[in-house]
Amino acid sequence: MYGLLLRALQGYICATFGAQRWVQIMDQNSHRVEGFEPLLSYDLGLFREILARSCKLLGRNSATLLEDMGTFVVTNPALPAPRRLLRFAGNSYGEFLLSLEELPERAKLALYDISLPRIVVKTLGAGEYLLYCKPSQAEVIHLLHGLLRAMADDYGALVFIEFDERPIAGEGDLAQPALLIRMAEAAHAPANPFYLVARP
Amino acid sequence: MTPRLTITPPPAETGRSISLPMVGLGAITKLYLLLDGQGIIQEIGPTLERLFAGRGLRGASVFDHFELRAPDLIHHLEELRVLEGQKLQIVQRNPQGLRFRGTVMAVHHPMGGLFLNLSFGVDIAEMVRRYQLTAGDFAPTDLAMELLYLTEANAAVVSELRAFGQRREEARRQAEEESLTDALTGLRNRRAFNSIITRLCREGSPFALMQIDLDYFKQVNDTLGHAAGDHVLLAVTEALRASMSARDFIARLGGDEFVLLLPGTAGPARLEEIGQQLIAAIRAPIRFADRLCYVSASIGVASVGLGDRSSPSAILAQADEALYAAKEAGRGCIVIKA
Repeated sequence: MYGLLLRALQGYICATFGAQRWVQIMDQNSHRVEGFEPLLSYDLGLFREILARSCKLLGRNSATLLEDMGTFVVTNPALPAPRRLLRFAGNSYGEFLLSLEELPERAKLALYDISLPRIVVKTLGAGEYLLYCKPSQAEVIHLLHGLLRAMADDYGALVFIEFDERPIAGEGDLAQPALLIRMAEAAHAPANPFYLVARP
Repeated sequence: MTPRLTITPPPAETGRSISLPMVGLGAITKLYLLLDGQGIIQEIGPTLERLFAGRGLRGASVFDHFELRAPDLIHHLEELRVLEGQKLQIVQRNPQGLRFRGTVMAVHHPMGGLFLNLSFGVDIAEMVRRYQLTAGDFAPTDLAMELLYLTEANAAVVSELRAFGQRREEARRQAEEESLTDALTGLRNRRAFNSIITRLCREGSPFALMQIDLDYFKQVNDTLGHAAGDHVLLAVTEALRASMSARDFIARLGGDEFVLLLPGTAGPARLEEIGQQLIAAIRAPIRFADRLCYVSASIGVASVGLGDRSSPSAILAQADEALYAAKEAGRGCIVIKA
């Protein structure tokens, strides 16, 4: 997964802040200048290291950076695949939210040895959901924050998403990073068109 | 009363049948044909309706519109009836030839006959594209969406892998290019030269090897410094390049030592002419800052004829010998060994 994340970070920083910034981040780190390969394996430590350096150089905190990156991943017109693959998972935002629980398996259908974090989506009440990772991982939650907001726009749903750190019923007493999702209106605006077979 | 479809149990299990309203059937399948006792199409699933809009499916014989096989061709309704529960291959009788898989079961219906349930086969992406099908055209339990997802995910992974391969190939080529290039002049280096001369010898191709050594280069370096020396080497490189044809190969072996490989069978007169031109070009004064540098060149040539099986080292030794003779002859000379 960290190959994908590092590549996404690289793409996001190059597109948003310019390739020169990325080169600076990599220089500091004496890492390969050509960047990261999405299909190669890297570890969490390296991802955190690059993320921390990026935040320092760009003067951003990591929550904001990851959130923006999550939005970028599904809205970057140069790379439509992530948004399209996610849209296959549900005909509505509600279906899409529930499908996130299948995300690791859906990813494995495409890449048999990829391991994505398990996401739990609990229904709190009508149109209210609590989303967290198991095991908990703050980076993923921040990334999902931006991604889920952008996907809500894509589906035309009016959704409020809040980051929260709280103990989760049945998951121990420790506070865990989570997202509180409140769907105010499923069809607030027209959804972006989604054709089952991509048009050239 | 709404039309209902009753799925017939075998006679022994009377009482264990289920009955569905026709309109609700779309929740289970959207691709079906209901045939009457004569094989005439009476009802059509909504997605099939879209695919066959305006083709007059309703009221026509199923055999007029479709070719059915399991695996032998099925011509009559009676043949179809005994294949209940088996997998059928169903192809539209039309140049478009949409392909389905299907299965048939006996049902109770006022027009009563056979229920033919279809699903998309391998043409699914093509059908979705052509008829602009949406998620609503598939039953909620249908795995069609997963299949389409998989097709696209697979394409994304493959294109990423291909891009990865290309990036690697480019990096490899660049590394190779760097390993064969002389950093100062951008000419090929000794390693590249070795590989080319080895290939020429292996092929038995005719060529001439010109070994070029600068005269007075050491003086430039000693009196004006290495920057001046480098500048002179670059100027000489330019002079060599200017007089070369695209087929010729030129390398800097190190220091002030250059080699030229001229493919083909140039005679001694022609080689002499080329050598003299090079010497004249190199002899031109080279400006460095506010000083002029004077160097010249001595050239030793080994000429290798067609089918000559000399080894690279023998040819090099021959050129060396010629070069030594040229230096002895007073510099700025060319000596050719045939």
